Amino acid sequence: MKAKPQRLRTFYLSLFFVLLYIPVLAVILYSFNQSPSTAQWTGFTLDWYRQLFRDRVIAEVFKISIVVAISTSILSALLGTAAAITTLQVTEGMEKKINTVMLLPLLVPEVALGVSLLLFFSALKLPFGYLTLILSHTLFCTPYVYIMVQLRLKEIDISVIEAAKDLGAGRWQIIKTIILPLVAPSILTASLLAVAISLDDVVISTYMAGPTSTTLPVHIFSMMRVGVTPKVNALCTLILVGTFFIIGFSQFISKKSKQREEFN
Amino acid sequence: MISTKIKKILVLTFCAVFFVFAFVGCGGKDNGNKQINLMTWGGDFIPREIINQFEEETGIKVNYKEVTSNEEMQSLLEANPDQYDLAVVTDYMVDILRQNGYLEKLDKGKIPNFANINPVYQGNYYDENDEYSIPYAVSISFLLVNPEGVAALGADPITSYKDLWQEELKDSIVLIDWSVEVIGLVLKSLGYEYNETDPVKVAEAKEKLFELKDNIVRFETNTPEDSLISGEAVAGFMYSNQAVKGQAADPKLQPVFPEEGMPIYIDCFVMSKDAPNKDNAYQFLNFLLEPEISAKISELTNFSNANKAAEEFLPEDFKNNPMLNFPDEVIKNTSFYIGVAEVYEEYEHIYSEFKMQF
Repeated sequence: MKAKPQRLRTFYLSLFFVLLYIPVLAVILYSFNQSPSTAQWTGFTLDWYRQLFRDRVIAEVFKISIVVAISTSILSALLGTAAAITTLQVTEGMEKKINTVMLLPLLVPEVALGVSLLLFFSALKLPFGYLTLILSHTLFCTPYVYIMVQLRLKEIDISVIEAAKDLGAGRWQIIKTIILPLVAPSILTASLLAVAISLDDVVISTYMAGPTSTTLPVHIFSMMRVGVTPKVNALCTLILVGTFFIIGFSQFISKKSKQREEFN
Repeated sequence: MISTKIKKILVLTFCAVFFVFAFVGCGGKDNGNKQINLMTWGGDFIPREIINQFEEETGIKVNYKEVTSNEEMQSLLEANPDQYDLAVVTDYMVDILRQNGYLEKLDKGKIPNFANINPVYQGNYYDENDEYSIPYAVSISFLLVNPEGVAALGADPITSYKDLWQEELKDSIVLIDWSVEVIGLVLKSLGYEYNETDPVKVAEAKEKLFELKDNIVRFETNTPEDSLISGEAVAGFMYSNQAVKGQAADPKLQPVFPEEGMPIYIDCFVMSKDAPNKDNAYQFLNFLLEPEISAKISELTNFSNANKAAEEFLPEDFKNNPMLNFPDEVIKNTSFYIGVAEVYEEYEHIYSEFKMQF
């Protein structure tokens, strides 16, 4: 009798994962299909991958996306961590206010954010391109870093910090030798998350990209008018593999840091 | 109180920000004014091969910004009219941009090849006197039919929208999944026009639409041709480039241009009123209208072009394919969806009620 809920749980979980991943598997499967139509399977081919690697436009927009994603992740890691550490130094009421302000960019609909940034940067006469892309992406990636680092900060035993203060450590010293090493894994995972979110963004990027800087997801969406080729399936497959790799890496890091903590 | 250490962190952060600014600032500079900023659909809507040829011949660099909708192009162009030279927008957007005063009246003296354009694509509602726009890519929607499949079901051959209502065609029709297209089709089958607002006629269309329910096997916007290739459907209403793909995969599929008329979409080049590189843009427009270039574009994109002079340079199989090189009498039997915004809400309402039955 006891096995029943267990089996039910397994069944539910498998169903959940099957439904979640079947569409993803379809993309991978069709990226090897000879026919450009998804209606028939006409044989195995690597042609779409060959075409993909020969496509100079995709190479170019991919490079732009990567530069934007990495710059965004560094900037938002700096800003988000600084903001999170600041909340240690302020009153609870102030912290709530900071929280609200930090999370606001996540609550505003993307289109609204895109259009208002467009108008704002036009008024500032900023050149549209890398600069506007990185600034706008940082705007919606920073809150994620902030949340993740702040959660980790809450777990830190306050007595450690008080002990350090007792022993005469200055604030900067406390941040450098106690807080930063403790939150470093969170900063790293948050930065990886920021890379993923920045790579994923379509709506804001279309508004922020200048005449010479289209990003990868915008490129894919803009192909709808002409028709999407299985080249895109091949590209999605590669991105999926890359994403799994990044996620695996960040899981590995957080596991490592947890283990180390348990030893201490 | 914020301590001096925290201040230091903030200062460092700002330094980092400005470092990034300076670093990116260097990369994005343009090479004088030998360039054009172009904005339109991505992929190879304007083939890179053609653009490269233009760049080599003239030394003018073409910056191609890709977007995903007409409305996006509108907001980008209206926010920064001095950043873009050319855009390719769909017919109705020409009208909107023109009325909002963002378009430059084209100087035909600088585009001698303008004379190559087939008059059947000119003088449309969005630009009655052809002052602002140059038609670039034309597509229409029509029926793609599997005649053998229709016969096997015991139905009469399909020549018009009306024939889709035959009882024998149960579960055998695929339609574009968009309220405006579907209700447009029903209106045409009743002998009315697109964009109908008369409540009596719309109510009649609604009733007629509900009678079609049993025959529809699928709604599909991106790959309706696949339903015909797989044999799931024997007739489908779709865009011309989809029908071309369908026939390429299965030669027994045939186009049917319904006698009641069809919708047409014309993507047009327009120039921003404050375009920074107008002369270069004129050079580009004239280049694209060269007969050989224009024919090459059609061959690469599978979009019909409006260039009459290009016809002799088209490959035989393109020229003889009525789904690619539309006969003039087909084009004369087409009309535009005008002012979709006015009818949209009502159509969408009917359409969602209809789809609830599935």
